[in-house]
Amino acid sequence: MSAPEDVNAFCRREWPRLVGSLSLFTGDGDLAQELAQETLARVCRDWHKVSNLDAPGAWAHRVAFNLARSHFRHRAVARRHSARLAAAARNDEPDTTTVIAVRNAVALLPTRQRTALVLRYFADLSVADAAEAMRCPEGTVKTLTRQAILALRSAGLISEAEIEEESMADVE
Amino acid sequence: MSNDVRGLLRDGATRPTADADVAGAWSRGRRLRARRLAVTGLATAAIVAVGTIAAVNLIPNDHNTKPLVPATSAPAACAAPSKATDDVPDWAASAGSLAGIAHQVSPDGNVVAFIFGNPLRAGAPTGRQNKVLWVVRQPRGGQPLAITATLPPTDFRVVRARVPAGSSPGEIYPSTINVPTPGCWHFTLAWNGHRSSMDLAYKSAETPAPRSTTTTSTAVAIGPADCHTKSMTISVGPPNGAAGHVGFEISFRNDSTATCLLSGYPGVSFLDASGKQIGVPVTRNPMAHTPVTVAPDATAYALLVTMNPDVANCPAGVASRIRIYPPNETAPAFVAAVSGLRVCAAQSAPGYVNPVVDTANY
Repeated sequence: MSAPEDVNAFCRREWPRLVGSLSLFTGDGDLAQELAQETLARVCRDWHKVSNLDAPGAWAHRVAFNLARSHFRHRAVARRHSARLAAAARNDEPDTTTVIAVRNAVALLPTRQRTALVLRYFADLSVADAAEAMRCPEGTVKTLTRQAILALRSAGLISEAEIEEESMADVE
Repeated sequence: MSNDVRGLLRDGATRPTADADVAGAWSRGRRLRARRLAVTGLATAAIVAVGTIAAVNLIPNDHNTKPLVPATSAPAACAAPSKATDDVPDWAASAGSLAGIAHQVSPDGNVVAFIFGNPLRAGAPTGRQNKVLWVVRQPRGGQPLAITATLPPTDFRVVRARVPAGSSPGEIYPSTINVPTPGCWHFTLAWNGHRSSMDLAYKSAETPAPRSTTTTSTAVAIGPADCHTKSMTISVGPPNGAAGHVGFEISFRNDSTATCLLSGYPGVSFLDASGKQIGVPVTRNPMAHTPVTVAPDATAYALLVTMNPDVANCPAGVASRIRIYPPNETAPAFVAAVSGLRVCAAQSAPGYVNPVVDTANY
């Protein structure tokens, strides 16, 4: 018995978003893909539940980030993480420097700031959906996001004008 | 390349290298469901639809969760420079006789780094400089060498240098490259349309052993003591930046006759005209840092950034003075704030401060 079409459509749509979010959260593209695949298995397992949710994408992201945290709890984290990021850095693609800087700046954020930033600005969840996914008040999501953006600013990745813009967006 | 936050995250995220294996996920999902039903003893495979999101905590309840990457992980291993004479490529001979100098060849064989400052050390070494002579295989054509260095995943700062093609003999670029953190730094090199890369190891900075705590024993203090507030001139520079955020250079000048140490973050808060603190102290901007040794009459710096309270949507106070505690000091210094400086007066911090560094931010 193969997956129903609505499962197919949902998984195809969420796949690149999950891989991208997990790669930013874990700093590891290969691991992100493994975790995203496992996330889809969970989506399939609970499809009856998921298909009725208002924000199934937010649910999928919550599961994905939980799987990522479990993964790191149960493995030798720092060594593998260092090795993989260093290996990735050795690919001589154009513009590698900025990409590395972004990944490292995001990787260095405290977990909650990183989560809020990726959910809000990569997965494009609303403040309400992100707060639901993180199980915290909406004000906390805004504060964490602002702190994360300030850290990106201090890494020289965004200008003050952009922070102003983002702060205004948070305020509205 | 876009600069906005969304664009940055898109650039930093990886795209899938393969399509989702939906069929695989579906059959695995069915197995997971069967396993769970077997465990709970349910006779039927039907799952009642529920309207609430499953109770899975995305973040731990423990607010002291360590970040995924510890800020002070051990430096990654790096090939040590070689002193052998037979592993220098023949084309590098044009640079003259460099026998006996520690060197490293790039993996693609197009660059040899002769390390005159061996061993390379983090920070700005005073006794001996981090001199590296880059010899390139392809001609310089009068073009400069663009160098970038990064230390994934420990330090997200990018060190850049640009070396003109004015030296001879040979296709050489002499440089002095300082990095803030010890570890295996990854260098990318670009000159005259060519690119190469290599890793160079930087050892710990020349900081002495940690100072001993003041006790009544006869222990002798090792290395410089922390800089004391009273033996420094602490000042704050003019405002920099756009309307949303304003940056200030905090300068710490060592007025004593002994070298002292500034390690980590200063404590910074704002006082109103009556001397009362406005809101809460500024936050520490999380970033890797190394202790700064400050020689007599030398100056160290810390970046202070305040947010515009209107943009941050918080009630504002007008700062009259800035109270600054040097790292590890209990005695503060008071500096006049620029006239009319408005800062957040509520529970969200009025700004952030970076750790003390040895080079000016502005």
